[in-house]
Amino acid sequence: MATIAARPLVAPAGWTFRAVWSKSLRGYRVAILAWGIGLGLLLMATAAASSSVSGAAGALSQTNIVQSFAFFGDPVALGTPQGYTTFKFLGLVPLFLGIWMVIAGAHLTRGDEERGALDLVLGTPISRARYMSEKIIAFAIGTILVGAFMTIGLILGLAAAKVQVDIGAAVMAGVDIVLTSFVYGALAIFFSQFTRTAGAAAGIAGAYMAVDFVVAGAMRVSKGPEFISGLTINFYSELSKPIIPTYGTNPGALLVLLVMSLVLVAASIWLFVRRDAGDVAKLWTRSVALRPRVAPATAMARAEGDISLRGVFARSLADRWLSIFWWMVGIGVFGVYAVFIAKSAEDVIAQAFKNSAVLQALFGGSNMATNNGFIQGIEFSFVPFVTVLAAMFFAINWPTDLDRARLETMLSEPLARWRVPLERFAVVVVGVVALGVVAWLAPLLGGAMANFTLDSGKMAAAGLGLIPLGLVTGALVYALAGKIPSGAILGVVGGLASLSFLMELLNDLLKLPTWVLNLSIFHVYGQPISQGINWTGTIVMLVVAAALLAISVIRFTREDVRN
Amino acid sequence: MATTSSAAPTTPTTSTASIVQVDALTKRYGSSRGIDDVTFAIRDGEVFGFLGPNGAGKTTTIRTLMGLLRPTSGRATIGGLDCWGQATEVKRLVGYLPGEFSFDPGLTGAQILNYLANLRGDVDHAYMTSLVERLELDPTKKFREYSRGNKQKVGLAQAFMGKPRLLILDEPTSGLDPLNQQEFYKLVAETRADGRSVFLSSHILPEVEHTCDRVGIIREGRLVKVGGVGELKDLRQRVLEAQFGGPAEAAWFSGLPGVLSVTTDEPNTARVTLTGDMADALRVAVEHGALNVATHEPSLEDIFLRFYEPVSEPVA
Repeated sequence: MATIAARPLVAPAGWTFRAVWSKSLRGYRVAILAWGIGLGLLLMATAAASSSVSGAAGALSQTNIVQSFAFFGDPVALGTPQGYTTFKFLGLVPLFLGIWMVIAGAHLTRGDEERGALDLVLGTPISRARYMSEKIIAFAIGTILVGAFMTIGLILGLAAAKVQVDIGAAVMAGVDIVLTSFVYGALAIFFSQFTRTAGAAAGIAGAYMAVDFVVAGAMRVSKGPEFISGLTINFYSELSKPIIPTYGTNPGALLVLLVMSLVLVAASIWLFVRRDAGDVAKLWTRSVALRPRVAPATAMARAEGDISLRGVFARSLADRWLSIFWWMVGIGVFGVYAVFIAKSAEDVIAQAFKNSAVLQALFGGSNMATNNGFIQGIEFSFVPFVTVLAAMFFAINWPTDLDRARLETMLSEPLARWRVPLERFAVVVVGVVALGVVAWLAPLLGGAMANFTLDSGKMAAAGLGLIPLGLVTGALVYALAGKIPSGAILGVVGGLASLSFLMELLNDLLKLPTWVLNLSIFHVYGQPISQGINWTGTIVMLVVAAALLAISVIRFTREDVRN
Repeated sequence: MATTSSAAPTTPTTSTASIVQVDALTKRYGSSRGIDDVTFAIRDGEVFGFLGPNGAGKTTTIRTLMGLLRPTSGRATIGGLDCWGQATEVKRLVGYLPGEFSFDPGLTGAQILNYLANLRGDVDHAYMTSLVERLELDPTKKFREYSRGNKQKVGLAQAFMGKPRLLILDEPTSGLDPLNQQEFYKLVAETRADGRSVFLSSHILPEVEHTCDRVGIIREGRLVKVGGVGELKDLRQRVLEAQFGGPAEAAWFSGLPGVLSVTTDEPNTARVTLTGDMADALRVAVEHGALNVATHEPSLEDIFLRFYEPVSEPVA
């Protein structure tokens, strides 16, 4: 009698699969390394190069001019490498790290719910509170590890600048960054309890983070009421400047950040354990009458007349229009607001910039001596980065739908495969063009309101020049779709965008080779207001975008559709 | 187990023309097996059942037919059109229900059906609405609010609404309650009566037995049997159980033609498993003074399981 051959046993899982926290931490490993090493290296380079310009910057700090730049951070002890590094980089780091924190925080539980994995995990004898607490512990450990990389980068950079390094102060600088960005992440966790998708929670938390930064900056410039500043997270972050010996750490501010984190985390856990799995939290239950039943024929007739269901493009646009609208509002409001900042500081800044290369270095090479230059320095230093992030979010639902096998039924309809990604990408094009037009027109509107003269042609160059950036970003997301998970795409593209932006921002300090700089889409975008559109770069970006999209479409038409 | 259907096929009215032709179709996922050298055809007006355990290759075959997977080798055609190279044209002929029906969770059932109808074109909206009513689907709810069974109803409605020449349905009654299963069987019967074809995969054997004209059995990526439901029954094993006044001996039956095994574990009882004619076995039982004789008719499930007995390998 023959016997059945023994089947190989399942290989024993590693320690990372023994608990929720370790499994979650495993999921963060690539992001921890990428963000930690990337930001750590940039911090090291900035600190190392800071001694070369800090002296000249320090001379400026003796005047009241620098207060005009407080929008970007408190200009304290600019004449020292520590002060310069703090102003130029440390204040902005929580914002960049916050991008990952917000994305990861939004996916913390909602990602599992969207994938349908939560029911499975909660089907094991583990309490909801424990499940979420372990997820948060993993998230916190990940943040601390990224902070540790940055702290090491800071210590090595200051040592290279021949500055006496206070290890404790450097560690506290890392703590400040970790706590600040953790609050943004905790906000995303909190918001995700009220949204049906992680993307929506990330969008809301990201917008909150941007508004928080703008309000805190505006309050610093205008010396507005402290109670308003006190409502922002960024305010408490700026209260500590640990590596500046004359300023130091503000334990109270760090405590406030810690309490904010704990309150948000506790509230999120409280909501999570009480709400339905897969549903949103409802703070109060209304006693409403049951929804009157609509006759099936009526519902079908209504849907038949719905123009958003006429095709893939229409459906996709209907799905994205709200997101596009809010990004337009954000960029529009910032564009108008930037003009009012420029107007308020017009004379003193123009005077300061006339012969100061150091100031130009502080603002990425922008010459703010003119109205147009000021708008270049304030608005078009940051809006390209915002546009890239927006394009990433406009495009991300394509890889998400591939991941979740939502296209199978659509692809069973008599529709050429190549049309599906192209029609979906057309919505990314619409969104990016809309942002470019708003970025062009918003400062002109602000100028008309504030009686601040701006060159319409230059604003058009700066605004419409954003379009290739967005297209390259969207096409990159499409090219990566199906190859790596959508969450990883957000991390990779967001990380590349942040790295490119920081390279460009720190260009005057880092003195990177031209070929390296040319890899940054922000460098290719350049300064259209002062130097005109970089036509070669623009064409290259459009060609790259077309090539990436073509790769995506060809692959999609030739490869298996996953289920 | 599902109840049997009143919509069971009577006399087959299928033509000899094939709507589906699969020739030596092979699909591999890297070094992993998908399906291997699968060949079969489905005739116009035929309901063809595709049976197999999990991972046997049912869904791989179906998705290759839908042009969602590229064959490694071999060819599949629907209506004479190549399933990969002419996928768009093929899909004009086909209504498809995937194994796991998933869609934009924020859309209502009505929106999903109308969206897919717009992509398909030429869908009779009155018929679509009638399907919604027949399946008792509430089209006002969002997809995320549907139970598994209701999601399946949306999937069935979208598959049937275009009155396609061929329906390809992967586990179509999964999640449906018995009443809706009956409605589904009626829809299949109507499709067949129209001269259109259905290719369905299922684990529910009575469902296949009562709705399909022919059945294909797939095992570990290979098609091991294709035949009419009646032909499969001819392969069945039968069990004869005879009780005697004294101890029974296996030797009485073991030499008879068609006898596979004899057990005498129960007192005074012989249990004979055999194929083919059981007249000889009955005769022997009577000759030895059997007090009572009973025969068991194995279900299609028993036959099905025969094909899925694990592959035995000799001990090294």
